[in-house]
Amino acid sequence: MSSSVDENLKKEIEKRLKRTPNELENHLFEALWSEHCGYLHSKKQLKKLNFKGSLLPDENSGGVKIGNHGVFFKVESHNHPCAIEPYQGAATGIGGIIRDILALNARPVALLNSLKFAYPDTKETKHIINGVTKGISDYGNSCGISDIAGEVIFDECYKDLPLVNVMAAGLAPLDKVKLSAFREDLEVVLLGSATGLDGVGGAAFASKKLAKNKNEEKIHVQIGDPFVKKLLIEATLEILDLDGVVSCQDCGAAGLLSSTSEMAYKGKCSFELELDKVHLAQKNIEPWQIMLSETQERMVFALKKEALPEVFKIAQKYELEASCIGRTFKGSNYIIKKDSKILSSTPLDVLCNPYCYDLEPVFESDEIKYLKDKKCELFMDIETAVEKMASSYNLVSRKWFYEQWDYLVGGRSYVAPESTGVGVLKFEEENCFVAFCMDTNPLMCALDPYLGSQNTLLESYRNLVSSGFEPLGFTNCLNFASPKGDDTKYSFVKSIEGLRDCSLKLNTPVVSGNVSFYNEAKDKKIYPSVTVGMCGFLDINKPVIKSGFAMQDEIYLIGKMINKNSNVGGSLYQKELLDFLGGSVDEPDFELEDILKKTIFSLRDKKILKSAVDVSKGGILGTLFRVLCASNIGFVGKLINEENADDKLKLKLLFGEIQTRYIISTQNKKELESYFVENNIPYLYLGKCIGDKIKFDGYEFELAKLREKYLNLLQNALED
Amino acid sequence: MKAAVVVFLGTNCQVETKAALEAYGFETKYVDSNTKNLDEFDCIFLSGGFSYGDYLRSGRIAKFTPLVESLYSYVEKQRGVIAGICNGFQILCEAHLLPGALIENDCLKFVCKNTPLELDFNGTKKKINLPVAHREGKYFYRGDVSEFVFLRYLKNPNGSKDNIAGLYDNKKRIMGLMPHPERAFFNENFGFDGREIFKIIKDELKRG
Amino acid sequence: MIILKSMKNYAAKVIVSLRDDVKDTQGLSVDKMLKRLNIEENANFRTGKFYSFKISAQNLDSAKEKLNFICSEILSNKVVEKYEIIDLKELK
Repeated sequence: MSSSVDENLKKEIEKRLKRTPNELENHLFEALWSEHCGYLHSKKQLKKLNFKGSLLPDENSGGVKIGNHGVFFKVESHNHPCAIEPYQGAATGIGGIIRDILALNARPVALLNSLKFAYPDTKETKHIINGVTKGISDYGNSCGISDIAGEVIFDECYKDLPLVNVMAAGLAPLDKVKLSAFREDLEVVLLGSATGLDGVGGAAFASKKLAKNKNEEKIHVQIGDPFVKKLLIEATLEILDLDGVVSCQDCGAAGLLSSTSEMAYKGKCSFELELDKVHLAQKNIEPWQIMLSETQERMVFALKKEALPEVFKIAQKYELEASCIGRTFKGSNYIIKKDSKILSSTPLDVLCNPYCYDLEPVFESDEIKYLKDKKCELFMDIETAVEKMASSYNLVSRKWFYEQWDYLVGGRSYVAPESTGVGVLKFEEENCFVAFCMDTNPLMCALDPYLGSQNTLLESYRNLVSSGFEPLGFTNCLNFASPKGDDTKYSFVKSIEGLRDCSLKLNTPVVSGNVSFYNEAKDKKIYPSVTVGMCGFLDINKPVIKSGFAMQDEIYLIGKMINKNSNVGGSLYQKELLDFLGGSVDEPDFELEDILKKTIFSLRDKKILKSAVDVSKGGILGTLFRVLCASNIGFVGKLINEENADDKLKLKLLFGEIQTRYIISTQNKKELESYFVENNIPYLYLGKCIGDKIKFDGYEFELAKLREKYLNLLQNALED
Repeated sequence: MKAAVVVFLGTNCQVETKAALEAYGFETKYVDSNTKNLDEFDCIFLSGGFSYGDYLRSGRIAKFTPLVESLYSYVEKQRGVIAGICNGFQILCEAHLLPGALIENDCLKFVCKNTPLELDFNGTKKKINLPVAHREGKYFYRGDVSEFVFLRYLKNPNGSKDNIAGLYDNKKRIMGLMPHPERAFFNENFGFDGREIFKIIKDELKRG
Repeated sequence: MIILKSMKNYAAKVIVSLRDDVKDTQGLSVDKMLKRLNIEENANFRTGKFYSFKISAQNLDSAKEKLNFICSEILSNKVVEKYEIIDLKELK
């Protein structure tokens, strides 16, 4: 067996199979027992998550229920392919996640992405950023699915190891939803692009560290075709509406093998695949290559014989190729035939049930302990700090990115990107709006994976709340280094426990997810990067709360108050200004979270609230800076709430990141304050929107100067 | 009034276009690329998207469909109005039903944003905002088309010659524009200026 | 389409590019890059698309005719593009 399956796994396979696998079977096991397909290191941990209240969490994508509809959403990583070939890597990442949604008979209606890169200062990084952005643009726009929101994070830990996590969301009436399990005595049809050599072995590739020489890896990258994808979407939705069509799954990692074996395993029946029937893109392609090819734009359907003619008719209408590749029957084996000869027959519960590792027990390493105990003694003067933070790649507008993505196609998009913290779709079928957002906090996860992942989930939660939405459920993408490393084991397990505990307290289930290990090269690892994508609900008769300010708005902070004793470990300012990472991460206050949510919703309903934004990266001043620049409005006020603060403390109070806070605006100071007093809401008056300068505590900055950077910094960096 | 909304393989703005037309009182019907006779319609709408993946060049492959053939005879008979939005405009230019051609944006990128425009129709000028979303939206022509231009960019997003965003033919029966009026129609966050364009079409139809 | 037995196969190679009076933005951006890297100044860079395909015809003249039709009507838009036949030869 090839070297990428270790000796122990090899023994385990032989033991369970009660024989030595043949050459073809070696390939099958190498793919299905890989980390990418088999979740060997993560499966046991993922079971800990809170699925209560989610819809179909065991399917290609889970979702949440709204009225008589399912809203399905899932995030997936395409990190390794993007490191090698950014353009195709990103494009096929989108292609893959769209198919996961589509397989349920849900029309994909929105895309989001969470991108992480090194600072855009070198030729190599710029190449990656431009390629990924264009890949998303060319593919998503052409498919006609709007790209409504997302995040971009810059940190040197992503040098040569970019993270490209894409999320898709789709809608389906509940009675139309199709599942993926086969049933006995069905015909199996493969629809879409002819199978070729592209992407052969991709799953195994994504399950190891990147090679030193990138050029060696090129062979594995799949090639996407957005036009065929658009046809495939329309054809699939028509086919799945036919009577007699029972189940569907997309061909993703490990292609035909992984889709059909999973469908058979779930359906508890045998499947016989005839390789001669598969429509091929080239001659001289080996059986194992057909099985493992990751040619894009293919879907698998299982249907009753009577439905075959209708399915082929639809395929023809959309100018797509289709072939009937096999059938299901009573039994429990996965059978591959060629020229009427059986090449392989393996029990599905061996093939599809790989050996899973225990990661536990785990221990906090001395290194992490040391980081947590570190104290930030560094500082700089406030003028310089503000100028530097205003030109931080992590705080400026993402306009350069989102203007390349069609955020309006499809007729459902309700707000422009950055006008509020989330992407919003109109969902008239259920008289509501649905919102989506994505967040990651790698710095906090690096210091404290348990609290870091909680705070990440809460950042998404607050994004939704600040826009007026009730959070319903979330998906996640767990990007980590090699699971063989003790630190990674620790941070992975703790992240999962953090997500679980937070999700239980918020009563917001996980609906789907994805794990990406081996994000490391040479001696470099990424920070644990727990990415959360969340979905929320709002009645169509209620307004979406914007984040922008207007002239004469009075600005307030509500929630936890920062002081000299607050824990601000993992704050962006320490990393960006002082090159410091350390200290304790702040804990959220769940009781207060709920009170603040009710406060914002109630102030909205009373029409006292004008806008709201959660306080996240960059703390109070970072958040204010972003909103003021986007709104093109000045501010006069007081932000530092401690006597005799020195520069070190001032930095902490202005930019420090603690949990459970929002900044809101009103034009009705009196009613707002009496609401706060009556309901015992912790609040602080910050100031007023006025003029064309940002003034606070004796400091003064020209808005126009800061805003120029805010709008153009990324464009200038990426298009010199 | 009856309008056809053309759906080629790869078209993706048909739903919004149809909804906008219906909101404006049109009876509408989707027609596909094999449609050979369009005489029943007072107005033909070529909506946005990526017909046939926009391979070769935007709008090029759509040109070789029975539908575009039937557009020629529709024009010859002077039956009604033809309007092309975005990809529809590109198709009309490729089919030489409108002068000029649309080529890759100067910035070499896809551009999706709300953009200010000057609408200049029948002597009345008006400032409006409409979203654009295209990679090949730079208008190029030789000679003088200025008398046919009804829509110009105030902040040129793509390098179009003379800031041209939309124009009609010499009989004012065929119009094409890159911005998406159907995206500024139903939602206060993107404005309602798209209705101005649909009004022009309706007025032109009434004029007969 | 009727394909007669006496038909021969020809291999065609064509380049379609923007006409000289149309600004080639991609070309210009390569120009700028070459200058920035101190490799070449005023390289007058132009871009285009290369096509290669097979056509069947009775003889070279009718192959040429067919090829010109494909180039002018399908592969290029004469408003902005021109084409150049690089190669046309019989496939043996």
